[in-house]
Amino acid sequence: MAETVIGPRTKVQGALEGADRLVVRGLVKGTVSVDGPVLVAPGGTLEAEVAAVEVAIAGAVVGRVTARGRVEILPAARMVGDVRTPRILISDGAVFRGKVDMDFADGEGATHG
Amino acid sequence: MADTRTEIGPASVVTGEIEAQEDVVVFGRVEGGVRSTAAVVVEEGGLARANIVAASVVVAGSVIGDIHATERLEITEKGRVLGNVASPRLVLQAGGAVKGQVAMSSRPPEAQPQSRTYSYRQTPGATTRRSSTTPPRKVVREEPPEPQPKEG
Amino acid sequence: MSDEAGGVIGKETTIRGEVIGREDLRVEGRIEGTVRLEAELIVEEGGTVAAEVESAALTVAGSFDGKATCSDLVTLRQGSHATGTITAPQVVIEDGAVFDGTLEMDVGLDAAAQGNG
Repeated sequence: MAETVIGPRTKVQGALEGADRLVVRGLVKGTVSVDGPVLVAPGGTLEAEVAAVEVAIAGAVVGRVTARGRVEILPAARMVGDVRTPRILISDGAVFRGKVDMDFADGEGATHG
Repeated sequence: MADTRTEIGPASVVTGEIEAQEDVVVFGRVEGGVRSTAAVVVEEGGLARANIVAASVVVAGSVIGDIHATERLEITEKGRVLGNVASPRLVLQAGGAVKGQVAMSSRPPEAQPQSRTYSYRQTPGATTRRSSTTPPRKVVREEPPEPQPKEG
Repeated sequence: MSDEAGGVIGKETTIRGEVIGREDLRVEGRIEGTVRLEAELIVEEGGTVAAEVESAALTVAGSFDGKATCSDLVTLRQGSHATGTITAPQVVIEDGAVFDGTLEMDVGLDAAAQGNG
């Protein structure tokens, strides 16, 4: 799968959408809509409304995350925002404040409601 | 760090502004603006409907917008630019096409690259990529005149 | 001195007016005015053409100021200085050439289109 990588010294302000895997090492502010996996790497920051298939968070996220596959909030993560996904993993060490809604109807499109 | 960069994948679209202190390589699409203190590369198949401001710019895809390079601008054989370009150094390869104003002399000669001759290309048959071994340096440049948006 | 067909405007020569030809023309001196050539106009290093040019091809190693409309290839060589408007299906600008003006080439894009992305 091809990738979109937002580097550590990059800021994106606006809407990012697509079908490539997204790796955020820098800053993305706005909206993210990915028909695939999203990784917020350590040091990366996402201040956005996110819709994707899978979302793995090892950096900072402020915003609402909707993933039709699953969400992983990893040990280095700091997240503020609500999560809607059928499967979630919140690791020991993660800092998370938000609601989790796992009531996800089968096959419901997450790439945009 | 010269070994990190931003890549916009072939199936991705960024609508908005990208601002970077590292290279930005567009395989997909950007609608808005791209600014970097390093290089901006619009790859073959990539489209930037955006004003681009960077130290070095390489267009192997399509750009609809103005380009301001403080060091060097290269348009490769598949590159297409619809817009105004300004750069102290310009290379237009056979096959490349530009429709717009070209300004090379309006920048002061201090914009000539010293420590860094950066030529980036991904596709074969092109120049090899040389990573910069110099530490990232602050690009001192005058604020370019506000380019006109190229939206239809 | 070459034996090839074509004209040469020598270093110490200036032409003011209209130059028409069907063979390559090398300019080591100066032309001001109009040039219509069914062949290539070559502005040598040290040469100057300040003119409206219609030709098959144009190569500038010296100075060009004016309007060039070419049916084939325009080449701006390293060290050349050109100003004005260049219209051609193919243009090559070498590293070290200096150009200030307008390029009118067919880019196959329009400002409202999606492009070839």
